[in-house]
Amino acid sequence: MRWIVEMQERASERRLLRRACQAGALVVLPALAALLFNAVRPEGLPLIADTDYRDEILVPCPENVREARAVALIELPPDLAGLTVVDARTPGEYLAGHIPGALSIPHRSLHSADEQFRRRLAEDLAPLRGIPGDRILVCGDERTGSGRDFAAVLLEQGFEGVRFLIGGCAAWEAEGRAFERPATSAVAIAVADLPDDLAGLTVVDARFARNFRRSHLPGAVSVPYRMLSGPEDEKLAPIRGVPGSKILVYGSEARGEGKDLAEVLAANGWAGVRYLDGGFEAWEAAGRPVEGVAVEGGEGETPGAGGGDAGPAGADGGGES
Amino acid sequence: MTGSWRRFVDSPIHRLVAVPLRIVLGIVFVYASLYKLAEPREFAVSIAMYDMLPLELVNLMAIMLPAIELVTGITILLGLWTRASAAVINGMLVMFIFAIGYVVLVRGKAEFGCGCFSPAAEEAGKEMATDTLWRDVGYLAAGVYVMLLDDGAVGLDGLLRRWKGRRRLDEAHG
Repeated sequence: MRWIVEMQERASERRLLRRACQAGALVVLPALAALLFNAVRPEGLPLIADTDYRDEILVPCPENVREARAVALIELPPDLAGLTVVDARTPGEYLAGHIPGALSIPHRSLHSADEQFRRRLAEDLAPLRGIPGDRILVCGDERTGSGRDFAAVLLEQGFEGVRFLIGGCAAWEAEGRAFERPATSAVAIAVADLPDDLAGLTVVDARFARNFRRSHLPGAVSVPYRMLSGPEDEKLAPIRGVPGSKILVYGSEARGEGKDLAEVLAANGWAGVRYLDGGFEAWEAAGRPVEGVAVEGGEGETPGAGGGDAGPAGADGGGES
Repeated sequence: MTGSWRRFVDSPIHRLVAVPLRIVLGIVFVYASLYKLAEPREFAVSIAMYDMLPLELVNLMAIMLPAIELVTGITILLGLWTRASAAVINGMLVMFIFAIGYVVLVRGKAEFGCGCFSPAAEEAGKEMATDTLWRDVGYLAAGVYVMLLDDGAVGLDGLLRRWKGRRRLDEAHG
C-alpha cells in the first residue's frame, strides 16, 4: 500500500512543479512581449523613468482639520490698517485687480504628492514670516473657497488667529472701494482673427503638460501655468527674449489659465501679450488644426511656427525651482 | 478528517462553482489592462502617485504589469493553465492589496483614485478607500478558490486533458 501513496505524492509534486513553471511562463513571457512591444511602439516609455512625473502627480490638497475664522469687511477697520492682506486667488486674477497693498500668494488647490509641495509652500509663505496670524487677512475667490482653504493652510502652518474675508476679495469691490489695477494687461483675441498657420507668433499652451501632449495648437510650447513658481521659472525659457506682442497664450476654456498666464506675462515685461478668447476649445470647435498624440500621425512638431524648439520635452524637463 | 477533506477537495462541484469566478476575474483583469496598455504613460503616473516604488522601477512596472494582467486574464477566462493563471493573478492582487492598504490604512488618507481601471489622477471623486481594498480582497478570495479547487475541467485544460487521454488510449490499442 505504501508505494501507492508514494506514487501519488510524487505525481502531485510533479504537478506542483509543472504549475510553478506555467506560472513563471505567464509572468515572464508577457513581460518580455511587453518590453518588445514597448520598444517598437511610438508612445513607448523609457525603461528607466527619465522624469519623476512631478508635473503630473497632482492631487487635491489634504483637507485641513481646523477652520480659520471668517470675518466680514464691516467688522474690519475701513482702511484695513495694521492688517496684511493676502490674496489667495490666481496670479491672473490678482493682476486684473486686487485690494490695494495685498500680497499675492495663490492658493494651490492641487499640489504634487511629495515633499516638493511642502518646500514650495514654505517658499510661498516666506513673505509672511514674522507677521502674527491675527494681523493677517486672507481673501480668495468665494466660488472656489480659496480664501477659506488658504486661511486653513496658514492656520496649519502656525499662523494662529488668521482670518479670511467673507465674500472673497470681490467683497472689497462690492463695497464700492477701488481695486488696484496694473497699467498693462493682456488682450483677448478671437479665433476668427487668427490665421491658420499662426506665422510669426510664439504660441504658448498654458494647460497641464498632459493636455498639451494629447493635442495642442501647431508649434505651441508648453508652459503649464499651474506649475509655474514665478516669473523666473525655467519653464518660461522658450519665450524669453520674445516680445509680448509676438506671443499668443491659450488655456482651457473652463480653467481659464490662458488669460491668467497672459496677465502674469503682461505684468512681467511681456507687454502686449494676447490670449485666445475661449481657449483651446474655441480653437478646436472652429475646426482649426491641432497636433499631438491624440491626433493621428500628429507626433511631429510643425517647424517654423514661431519658437517651437521646445516641444513636449520642454514640458517634461525644466524642474521646478 | 483527512478523508472528508479529500472528499471536499475532490468534489466535482468546484469545477462548476469556479466558472463564474473565473469569468469575473478574467473580465476584470482584461478590462483593467486596457487603459494601461493604451496609455502606458498615464499608468506610470498612476504608479508614481503611490510613491512606493523607486522611480527606476516605475516605468518597468508600467510596461510589464498590464501585459501580465491581459494574458492571465485571458488564460483564466479560457481555462488554460487555470491554476497557474490564478496563482499569478493572486500574486498581483496581493501586491495591489498591499499597495492600496498601505495608502488607505497606513498613510490614512488617499487623495487619488487607485488607478486600477483609469488613470489615478483623473479619478476625482473616486478616491481610494477601504471599499477599494475590500473589492480586491474579494477578488483574491475568488482567485484563491480557483487556484486551490478548480481542476480546470470546464475550459481548455479539460479539453486538452481529454484529447491527450484519448490519444494515449488510441496508442495503447493501436
